Amino acid sequence: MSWILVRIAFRNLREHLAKTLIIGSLIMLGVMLLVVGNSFMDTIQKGIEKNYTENYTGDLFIVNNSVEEISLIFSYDAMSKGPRSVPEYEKVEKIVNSFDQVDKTTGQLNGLATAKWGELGEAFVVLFGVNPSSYTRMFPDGVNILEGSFLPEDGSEGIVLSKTVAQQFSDTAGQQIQVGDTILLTTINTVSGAKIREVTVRGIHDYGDASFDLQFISFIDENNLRIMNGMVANNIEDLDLEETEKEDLGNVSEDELFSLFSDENLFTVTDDVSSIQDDDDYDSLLGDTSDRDIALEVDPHAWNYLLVKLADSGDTDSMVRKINRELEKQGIDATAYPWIKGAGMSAKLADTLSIVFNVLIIVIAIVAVIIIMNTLVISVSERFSEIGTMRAIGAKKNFIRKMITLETMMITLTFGTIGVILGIITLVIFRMVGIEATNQFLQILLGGDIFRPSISVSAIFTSVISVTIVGIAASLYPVSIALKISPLEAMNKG
Amino acid sequence: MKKIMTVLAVSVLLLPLYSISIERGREIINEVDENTTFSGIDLSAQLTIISEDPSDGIDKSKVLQFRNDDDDKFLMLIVEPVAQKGQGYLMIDDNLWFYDPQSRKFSHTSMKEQFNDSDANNSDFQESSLIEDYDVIQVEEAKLGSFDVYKIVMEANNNEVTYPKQILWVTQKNSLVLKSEDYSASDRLLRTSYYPSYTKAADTFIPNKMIFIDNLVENKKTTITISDISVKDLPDSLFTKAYVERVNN
Amino acid sequence: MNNILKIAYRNVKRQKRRSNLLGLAIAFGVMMIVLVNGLTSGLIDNTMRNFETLLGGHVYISGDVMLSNKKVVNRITQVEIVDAVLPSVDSYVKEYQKRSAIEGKFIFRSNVSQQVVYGIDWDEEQNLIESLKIVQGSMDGIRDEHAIVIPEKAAEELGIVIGEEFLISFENVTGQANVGTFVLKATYEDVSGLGFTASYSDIGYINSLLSLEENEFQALSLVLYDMNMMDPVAAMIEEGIAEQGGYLKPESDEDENDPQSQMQAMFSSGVDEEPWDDTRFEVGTLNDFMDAVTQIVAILQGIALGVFLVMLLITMVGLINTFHMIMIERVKEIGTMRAVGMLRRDVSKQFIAEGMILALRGAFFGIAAAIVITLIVSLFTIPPESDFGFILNNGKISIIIEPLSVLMILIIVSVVTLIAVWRPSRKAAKMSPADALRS
Repeated sequence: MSWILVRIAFRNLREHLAKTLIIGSLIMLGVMLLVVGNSFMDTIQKGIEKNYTENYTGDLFIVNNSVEEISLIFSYDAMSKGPRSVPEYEKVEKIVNSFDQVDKTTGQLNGLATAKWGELGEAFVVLFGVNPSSYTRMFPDGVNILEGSFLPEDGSEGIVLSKTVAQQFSDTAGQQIQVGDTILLTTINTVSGAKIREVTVRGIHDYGDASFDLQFISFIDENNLRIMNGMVANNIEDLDLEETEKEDLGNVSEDELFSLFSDENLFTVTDDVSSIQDDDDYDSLLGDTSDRDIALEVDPHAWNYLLVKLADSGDTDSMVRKINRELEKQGIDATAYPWIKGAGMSAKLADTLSIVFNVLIIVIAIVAVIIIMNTLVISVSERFSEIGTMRAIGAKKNFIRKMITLETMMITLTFGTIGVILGIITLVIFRMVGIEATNQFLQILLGGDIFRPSISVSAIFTSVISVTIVGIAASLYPVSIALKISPLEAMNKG
Repeated sequence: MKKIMTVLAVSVLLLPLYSISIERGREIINEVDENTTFSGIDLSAQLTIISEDPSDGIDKSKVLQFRNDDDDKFLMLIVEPVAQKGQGYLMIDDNLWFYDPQSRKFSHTSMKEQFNDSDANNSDFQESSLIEDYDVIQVEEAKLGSFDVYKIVMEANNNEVTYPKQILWVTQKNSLVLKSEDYSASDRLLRTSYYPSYTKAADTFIPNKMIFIDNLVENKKTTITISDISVKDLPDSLFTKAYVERVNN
Repeated sequence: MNNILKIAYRNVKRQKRRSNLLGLAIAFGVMMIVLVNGLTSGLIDNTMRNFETLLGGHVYISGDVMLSNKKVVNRITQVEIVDAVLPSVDSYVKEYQKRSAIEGKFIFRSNVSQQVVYGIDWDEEQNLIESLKIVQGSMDGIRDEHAIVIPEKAAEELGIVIGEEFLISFENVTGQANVGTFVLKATYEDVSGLGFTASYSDIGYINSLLSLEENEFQALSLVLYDMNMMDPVAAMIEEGIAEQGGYLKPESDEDENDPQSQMQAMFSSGVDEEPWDDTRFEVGTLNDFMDAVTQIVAILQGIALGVFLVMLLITMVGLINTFHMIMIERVKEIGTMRAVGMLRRDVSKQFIAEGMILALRGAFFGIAAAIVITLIVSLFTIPPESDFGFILNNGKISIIIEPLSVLMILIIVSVVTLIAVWRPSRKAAKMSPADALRS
């Protein structure tokens, strides 16, 4: 039975060869466009992912609730009123890792500093304080080392300069900065005041031109950045005011202030009450400084952000929701955000452009599919009389339906396959020639200097299957109309 | 210009009634300048700075200050908060060095930066010459609490000083400033300062207490208490990087 | 001819289903082309406008004056030089924006927030008024001397509501402390999502606070008709200033476009500059400040062109194929017509007429549908928290249907139809009546 059907269908197609070719060529073009378009979309998605989620943001991140202006690059907000780290970091880490979808986590510290190299070398650095082992595990290809190496795994001090910063040093100092040189970093925080740190240059890295807002980022060992940020373990916040000092607080009454004294006792004449008798006394002016060491002890669990990499990036939004629910349930004052919220301006712009691009590709796909549908509807409508004749000579409704379905499937599969092949050829040509991204943004979007679209297997399957389904639906609709009317009428029509 | 004309008109009208001559005003300001210069003496003191900020809360810091104005040398050591203890600012001429005892490193810092972000500016710790920058516009006798004072209105004679107008309340007896008001170019009160008591060391008057009230931000105030004042000669070895390192040991 | 049209029209009507389906396909294709074309030009327009208002124009002229104490202040004292130069570039300029700026502390009771206020000539900057998305209050009284519009976030930070008065404390151009009182008229939302936030007030008041003359300004920004002319116009202005004897800021050794040098400029406090007299002019472009904007616009333009061409291709192929198919089906009919004595020429003409009627009718419906959809789309607002505010017009998707592009689409559709109908109509006309009837 089905063999006969195939033969009839085949014969029909051959008989209307011109029509078959026309419909076929349209399907071919449609499938080709879908394959190319889908592959473009895939490449762009991967380009953005490669640039951000796999380089430095992860899929999502967790930050203290009091930080309103969130940026993984640098947030003034996180620094201006004391360092704000993720509360109960270890617990948060445990919560996050309890989800199966979570692949890896790492902490990140942020900072700003001015840097000096020797007498002349000057630069401005944006700092990422990281744990080198967990960081490189999470972003194995994130840091592109040009010279030297990444931060030492044993956690000892060091800095990995960005190419731009290294260039700044070289420009100001007049000579090339080398791995192994030491630089002085100066910064200020609200807890421990101004801080100077000496660090050894361990390497020079480059994020590439595309991510322009990342070009000052240099990596520093976590301990040094915590000291610079004033992230101390024992926050000696207790304000120790003497009685007279307490009285001075609040509003000032001019009358009170100037009625206590009179001209006679407005000033005391000092006979030099200084306790310092000889010059050696100056050396012990500060007394015991051991309390300072306690006050400056850093909190080894202080991190500005907890970065999370998921096994499947597609789960990002649902995981953000899940983690936030859990954080709220546990009463932890921190929130998870998807990577784009913290990735900086270039990421936002690129992401928007990719959305625009994807929407337009989808629109093109829809238009292509609808035009194919329409052509099929017209082609079947033309066969009303034929269907009538077949019905008149005793063909069952079901048989006709099957026949038309089979015909459509044969056309779509045959020409779809040709379309796929043409699409792949187009993509291969694109890959071989490579479109040069002359524009930094294109580089972000396309994931590199030269655009080489990847060939997406899933895109091929979805294109062929969707066109086939759409084709069958498009041809069955007029058939069902044809079958509703009597054979005689159908013969007279069209 | 209109404002100045008004002030002038008013002061001309009032002249025969209360006003002391402008010339007398200039003399008083000159005395104020002389009273507060530290030329010829060295000075060491401990400053306790309490700043009240409605959004940041109350902050207390304590510093030791050493100065030799004749040689343009200045040293400040932070005592409190504990986390900043031993941090030092050493200024010789225009060079300001900052020392971080935690890393035992020095760095060069700009003079222009605000002093610990309080209402007191760096200029409050430095010599100032009112007579050079200001013209006396009006002088009158007044009462401030139990003090007989001259209220002196001054306007800047150039447009590059921070406060275009200042009003001083100066004791008639010793020419000590008890109160001052700083005004903006739009003639709005920006800051009120009080100096309720003084110490006389050698021939110089040093305020024991200074209160700076921010008149723009409600409830923002800085109180500086100055104690352990000494005008003894300070050894040159004090104004060295070596000393700053040594005192931290 | 009239007769042929009549027959053609009757044929189109007679074959209702087929005609409708084909017409629908054409209408849909045309609609999508018009919409996508309008959408992309809307995106480009919005992006440019959003950045124009945020960054204030394409070309900037600013000036520095060195005071006797070597302090450098932002001021243009030789306005006559600027006035003499501008006419030479006038044909490129859509809008002149004269602005002064205050960077200072906003103070309301105990709350303080560091912000920037631009002094605006409201009569000149209609664009800005339109682009601000007002959340509270209104721009009605914005021309009042003390009136100000500030970002919603700043208002929250200060805890201030519409109608209340607050202070801005800052230093004027000579370094004097000054304070202005401002009355909050409106708050706006940053719809760009890029975190640009400035407040806007009347330039007259800002100038008086800064101790500038009433008609003075600190920077003149030019909005150009074509942003690609940015660099040439800037070069022309620089040349003009030099010709007028103005002093231009010498080019620094480092590349101006390099963000690194911009950063350095931000963090270093102009050390040891050679003194100069009068105004030292500086002419900059949007590119110096944000290279990215031109890049984004270039990408959007590229995407727009690509999408337009692909859409056109699909619609064209669809149209040609469908016409071909219909012609094949109608060979028999042609035979009949030839048999009843119709001339070859007329057969071909009539086919073409039929195709044109179908195509143009479809195209008109398509354009009409596109306009309706545009109107519907303009009713919706996308929440401004979304990250793609910069491609929207105050949170709305803009679809700009340009009459010229509509005309072009109509012409293209007609040409495509002619191509599609030409060959089969010739073939049909060449056929002998007997052959046609037999097949």
